[in-house]
Amino acid sequence: MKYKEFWVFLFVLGTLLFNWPFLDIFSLVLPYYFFGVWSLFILVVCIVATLKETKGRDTDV
Amino acid sequence: MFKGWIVFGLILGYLCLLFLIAYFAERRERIGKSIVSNPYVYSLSLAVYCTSWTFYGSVGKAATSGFSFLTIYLGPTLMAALWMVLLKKIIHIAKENRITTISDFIGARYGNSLFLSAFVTIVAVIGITPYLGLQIKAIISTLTVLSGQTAGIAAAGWYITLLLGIFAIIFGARRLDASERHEGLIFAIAFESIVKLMAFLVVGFYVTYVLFGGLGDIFDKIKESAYGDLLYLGGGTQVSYMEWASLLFLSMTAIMFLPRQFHVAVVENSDISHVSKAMWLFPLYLLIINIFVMPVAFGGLLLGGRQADADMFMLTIPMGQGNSMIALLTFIGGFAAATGMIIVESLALSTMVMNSLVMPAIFRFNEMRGFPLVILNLKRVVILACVFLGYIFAVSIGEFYSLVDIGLKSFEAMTIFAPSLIIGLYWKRGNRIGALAGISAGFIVWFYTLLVPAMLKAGIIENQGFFSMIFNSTLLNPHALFGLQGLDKWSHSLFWGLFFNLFFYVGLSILTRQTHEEERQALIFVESYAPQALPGRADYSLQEIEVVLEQYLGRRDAAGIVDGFLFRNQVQRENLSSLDLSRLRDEAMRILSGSLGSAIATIILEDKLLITEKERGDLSHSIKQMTDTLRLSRQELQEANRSLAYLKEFSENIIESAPAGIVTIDAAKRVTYWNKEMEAITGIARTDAANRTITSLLPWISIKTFEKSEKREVTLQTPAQQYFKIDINPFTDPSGGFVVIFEDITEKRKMEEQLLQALKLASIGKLTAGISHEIGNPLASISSLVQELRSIPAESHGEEPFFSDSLSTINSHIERIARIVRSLGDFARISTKEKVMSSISEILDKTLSLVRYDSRFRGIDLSMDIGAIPLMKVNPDQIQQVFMNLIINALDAMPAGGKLLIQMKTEGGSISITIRDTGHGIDKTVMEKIFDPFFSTKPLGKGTGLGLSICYGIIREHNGTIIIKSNRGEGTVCTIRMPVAS
Repeated sequence: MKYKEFWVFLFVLGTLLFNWPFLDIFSLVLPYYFFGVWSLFILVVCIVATLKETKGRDTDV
Repeated sequence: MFKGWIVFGLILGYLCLLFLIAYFAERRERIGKSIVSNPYVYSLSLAVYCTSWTFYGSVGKAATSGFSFLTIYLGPTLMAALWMVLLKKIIHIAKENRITTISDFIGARYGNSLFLSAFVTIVAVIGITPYLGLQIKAIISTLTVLSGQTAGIAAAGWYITLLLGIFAIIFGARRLDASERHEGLIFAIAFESIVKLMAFLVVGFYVTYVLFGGLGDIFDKIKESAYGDLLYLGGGTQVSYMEWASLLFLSMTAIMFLPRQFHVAVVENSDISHVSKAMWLFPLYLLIINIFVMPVAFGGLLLGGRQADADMFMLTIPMGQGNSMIALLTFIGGFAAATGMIIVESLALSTMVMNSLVMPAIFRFNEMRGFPLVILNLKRVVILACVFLGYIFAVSIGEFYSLVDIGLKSFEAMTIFAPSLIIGLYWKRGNRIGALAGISAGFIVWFYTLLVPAMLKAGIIENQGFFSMIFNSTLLNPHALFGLQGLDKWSHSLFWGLFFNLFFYVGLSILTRQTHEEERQALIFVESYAPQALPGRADYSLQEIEVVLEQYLGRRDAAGIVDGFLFRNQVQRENLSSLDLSRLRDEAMRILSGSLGSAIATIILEDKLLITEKERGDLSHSIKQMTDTLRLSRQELQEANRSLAYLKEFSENIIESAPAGIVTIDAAKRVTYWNKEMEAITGIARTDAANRTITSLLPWISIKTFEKSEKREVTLQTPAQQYFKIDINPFTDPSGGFVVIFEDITEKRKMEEQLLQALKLASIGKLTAGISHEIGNPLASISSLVQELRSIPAESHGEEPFFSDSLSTINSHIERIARIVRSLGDFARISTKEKVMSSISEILDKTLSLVRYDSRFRGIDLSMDIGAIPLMKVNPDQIQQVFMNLIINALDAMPAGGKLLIQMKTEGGSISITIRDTGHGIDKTVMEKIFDPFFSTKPLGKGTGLGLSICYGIIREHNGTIIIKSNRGEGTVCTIRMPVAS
């Protein structure tokens, strides 16, 4: 998967996770689900963006 | 409760602190030690997204409809994942094209359309006004709550609005340099983001852990209360999944297209790499600020607060508990959230209004005295107008709606720009007419389905008469347009707005043509990362640039800009190179773009610096033509490049997989290409062969081979006894060189030799039947004579005349047999491939002397007409084989006898040999196939079908021709022509 495609994939995945049917499936634990998935999403973005940034910097050097 | 003057003093104090912070950042920038240009301040400045709606409205929304407030923050979180693709592209385009507002961006995309830009500005101002009103409403409401009195609050609101307007002017309109980054303002906004976050966390912590026993305690209690359904989503709750998805979509577009977000994310971006950190830091900020929203909302409800008053829970809870310090802190947090939004939004809106509405109307008055000050003051007035428009909305319509409701109306308005902007970044065909129609349709739907009901509710429009008829009709009910029912108002408006917007945008873009300018701009935007083809001009002087800047910015600022440029680049006024002038011109363009809009700045600089109006028109026309040509050339070039790349790959594949060695050499006979097969043939690697002369690589090739620049074919033998057929094709290019194709024919040669030998043996086999009779007769005669001689007594041998006659006869017969056998032996010996000087007539004689013994020859009347034939360089064995085959064919065609005429003569530079028989001839239908290998008209087992094919090959190898003419029943004429030189 290309770098740009990954971000589109992540966007689509996140949109799915924060909509029906997942919200219905986790309806009994919604507060935990929201903040858990939200945190995880940010973590993934952070890791991938940081890795890419480091890689890019190395390449530049 | 606090006294009004205390609160007002607090506000003034906070604004002063903000001013000092901004001043500090600007000072640091001036001395070249920026504290703003880093991803952390950039991320915090993006948090201007969190307004008083977040601070107060989210709590209100959570208290009335549970989790739905989260959509406003989850949408931007999801959208941030696309920033690496979408935001980076927008920033890149904006910086390359000196774009400073979203209306400029859309206008520039669709052919630098001022009209479209103006229209987008009007839509944005109308769409954002409720949002500005929301902030002012929040400030007024919190003042009311904090002071506990309503008297004079409206006036206080008016003063605070004015104060915020002035603050926006101080940071955004002190001078005309909107394209410059406002480091002071951004640092102040970043500081405000920290203030509102800290304030929210303090209140959240206080409610959750001081007033209640933690998160678990609050959630458990609310679950058991009458508000338990707030913990759920979907059917039967306050928020349907459809509404949830719509709100999520609205917030996704809002984070990209709200004018203030565009301003901080795009215009104020100092380094595009900051995006990669902001795309997780900003969502993290949103996550943290939302942690305590539900606990505060539920805490307020559990403490007896009403859902209708939930917008103010952040203030009323600490005040109700007598904690005035936390209440004041909350007020400051909310005020920070509102002021940040008002300042940046009014600045962004005013730049849009100035660039798209005001400047196009007044820029021609540039000769007027004090024109720069006029522009500056106009901008200040516009900022104040924007802020007060919000104030008017707050005091007229705002009071009828919750904070979230007002904010969502503005969010919904921003979706109007989404199709034209996002699709326009990736689809070249999107045009101005489509964009105008799409935005118009979206705006009409938004206005009718959301703003008109708000006006009705506020009493601005009365639901009577004509309006009543329309609003209550089946088709035009603003809450159920075209009879569509069952959707909440946000989903309903979003559905129809997007539907018509997309329908008109895509439809009209397909149905109508783009102008050349639109095509050019579409290319610049869609292929934004392609290198810029047109460099900036530099054929103007420093004085000319300075004069233009003076006219629009004032003498002092113009001098400051020029001096700053000279200082930064360490150059003197007198020694400016054309590159320096070009850069200064670009800087002037950037500054003017920020102040006046990119379209106007371009017009001004072209007018001022270059040429007269007429010349400009001509030049503009020429540039357009050139740009069109360049655009087309670029497209064609790309096409051609693709085709070339394909052809190159295709050709290389063919050359590399060809079963022949292919070499190209230049005029100096140096190798420029050496394919794989050549590596296999010669054992020389491509890298070793490159740039070396072909004769040094293949010494068995004479340099003379490449002396003549003509197409040739030669056969050469290597010292290793390999044979190569070499095709030499000169390049048509004047620089010279050859394509040389090597075909290893060693195996082919061997096979040809073997075939020839086999054919000889076949010929001998054919002759054997006829010759056996020739040998048999003398042998019988010898045998009978020997019997007779045996019967004569030994003593009378010398006396009998019969004895000596018999011996003589025997001797002649034996000699005859020996001749026959010798001829056969000569013919059967393994032939060579060498050509030697030979007499063709002698070769014919030899052949005839062998064939003559064939019994079939007895009935043949042979006539010979042999002229003077010079010696020729031929392979005698091969030529004899040709004669043998042709004569045997003639004999086969005349089983009952006939005439055989053999003529040989010289014609010009060649000899002609004709063998004519009176045999049964060849059917016309098979004439075309007679030279095909394995084709024979003879019965099975009588012929190999290779005779004529071999003859053809041999004559061709001697550069000759062989023609056979025949008719059924009329005999056959075979004519061979060979050049004497061969």
